[in-house]
Amino acid sequence: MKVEAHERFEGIYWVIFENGTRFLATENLTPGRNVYGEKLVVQDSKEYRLWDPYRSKLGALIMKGVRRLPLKTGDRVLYLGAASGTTASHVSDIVGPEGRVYCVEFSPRSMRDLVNNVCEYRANMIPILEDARFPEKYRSIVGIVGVIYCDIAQPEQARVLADNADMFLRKGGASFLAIKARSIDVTKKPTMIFEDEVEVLRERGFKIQECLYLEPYDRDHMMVVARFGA
Amino acid sequence: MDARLLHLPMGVFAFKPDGTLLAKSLYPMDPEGAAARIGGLESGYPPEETMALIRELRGKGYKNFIVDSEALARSLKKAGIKATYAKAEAQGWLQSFFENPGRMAVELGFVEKEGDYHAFVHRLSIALTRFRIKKASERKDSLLVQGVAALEEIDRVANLLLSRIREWYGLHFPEVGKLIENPETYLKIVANLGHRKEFSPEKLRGFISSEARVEELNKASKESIGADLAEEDLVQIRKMAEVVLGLMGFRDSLESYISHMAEELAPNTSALVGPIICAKLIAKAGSLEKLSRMPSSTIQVLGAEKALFRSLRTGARPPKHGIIFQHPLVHQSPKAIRGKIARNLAGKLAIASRIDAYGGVYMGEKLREDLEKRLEDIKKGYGSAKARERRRGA
Repeated sequence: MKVEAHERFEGIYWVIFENGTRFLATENLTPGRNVYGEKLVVQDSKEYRLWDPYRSKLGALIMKGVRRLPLKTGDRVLYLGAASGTTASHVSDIVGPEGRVYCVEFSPRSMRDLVNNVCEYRANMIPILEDARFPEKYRSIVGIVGVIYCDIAQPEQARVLADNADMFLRKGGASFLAIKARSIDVTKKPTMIFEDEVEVLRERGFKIQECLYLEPYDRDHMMVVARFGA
Repeated sequence: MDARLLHLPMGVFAFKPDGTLLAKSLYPMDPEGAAARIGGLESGYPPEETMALIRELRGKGYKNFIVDSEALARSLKKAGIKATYAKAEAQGWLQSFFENPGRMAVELGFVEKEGDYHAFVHRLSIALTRFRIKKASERKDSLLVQGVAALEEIDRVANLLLSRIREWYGLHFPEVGKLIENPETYLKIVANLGHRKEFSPEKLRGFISSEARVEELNKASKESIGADLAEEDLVQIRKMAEVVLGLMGFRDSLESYISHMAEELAPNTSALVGPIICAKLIAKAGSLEKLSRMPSSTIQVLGAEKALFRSLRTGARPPKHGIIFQHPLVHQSPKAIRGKIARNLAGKLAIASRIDAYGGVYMGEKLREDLEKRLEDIKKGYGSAKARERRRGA
């Protein structure tokens, strides 16, 4: 088994097993601890956490071959919809101790897991139990960030991302929007829904860089990577 | 003169409307203490530092306060101080703070270096979030929702285990299963009597009221085609029957616990449809507040999601009722008017749940009366000669 750095992206690795299978991974900020039952592997006294693309849309995005990933060591990230921390923990690994992940989550039940299992052990993750539709409520905690990752399964996802970007994202900052067609309108055709959300982003000053469908990792899901106010 | 008050992680700050910093009162550099103050503010108990700052400012002639908490605005107004709630505007000092909180914290002397401020915010947000999670789980309707889920699960499990016992005991005495439909009676007989040679008319009368049935069972016990089982095998089955009886007993007490809670939590809604259906509606909606926000058309079909989305997707006929079907007013009326009844009932439920969620008077009786009057009209319309003729013609 060996661990190799990803060809293009910082802080992301491939774990290659003897039988030839490749698994995505990040370097563990909290060696000895896993978050969602993921496997830990060690090489040259460095520990890595395997990243499951079936459970993490960001992992799926990378497996689908996204060309550019505007997320690197030292970045400050506003994560809307952090849930129990599956993806957020990998973001925390990537940005490292100098970076920061502000985790906004609405459900107390998910947040309980996020606080007790993840944020408690990671000094670069800040838990915020608030509704992402009201960014002014967490304005005094979050400063200016370079990246917003938005995965909130709400009908007005793009608008919420844009409102948060207006308040927190620096000019030229990056954003990721995971669009779940079913959450917006269960009867409309997914492609139409994706187009509508992307259009909202354009109107609010985002320049769309890449859009990828997440099949087979997620059905009727699309991830949009965009740059804000370029 | 106006003063803007803002609660930041470090303490309470006052600004002039143009953004210049007027005064401040810093909290001690203790994350848990700061979290407790912010949590207290959210619950309607502003920190000492806030009140001290307000006193200081009033002394300097500031009369009108624009604050960042609705709860605070309300309590200040009650105390006779002019106060309004408004979102923070990022200008001047505040703008600098929002852009680089760490640096401002160092400038103020709150911390020595930026990293310390970040560590402070990390621990503060963990403590504050834990406080908010606690507040969220203290809500009474969370207990109701869990209780209803437990009730539904117990029903499923009890049913499953009952079927198993019928099969298992049926190896020994299959005839009982056919003769005794009632689950509780069946289980009591299995648990108490066990082997069929223990069956006798006197003992059976303790469980069954019909003399004819007692006779049949007694006869069947002598002529059964089931296997003869050893005591050690029957013991297992009897123990299991006892367990299920215990579960069913608990189920009854759970149902009464839920009923009481529903009546206390949502008296108007309980008066309209009964506490159990009320509890199921709240559980399906997620909370009483969520239920109160739903339009009556949604309440009408709560619980019929499969049919609802299918009709939305394929254009098929939409469902007329969901959970509210369980109410006798709905399921006992002729099919043709169920839709009207469901719609009217849902309308009254929407009103009732709003009164319950936002702390209002009890008017359950009036709501019921209004509903019943309306239902009278519907039934009359249905039973009238004109309507019958219309239906015959169509």
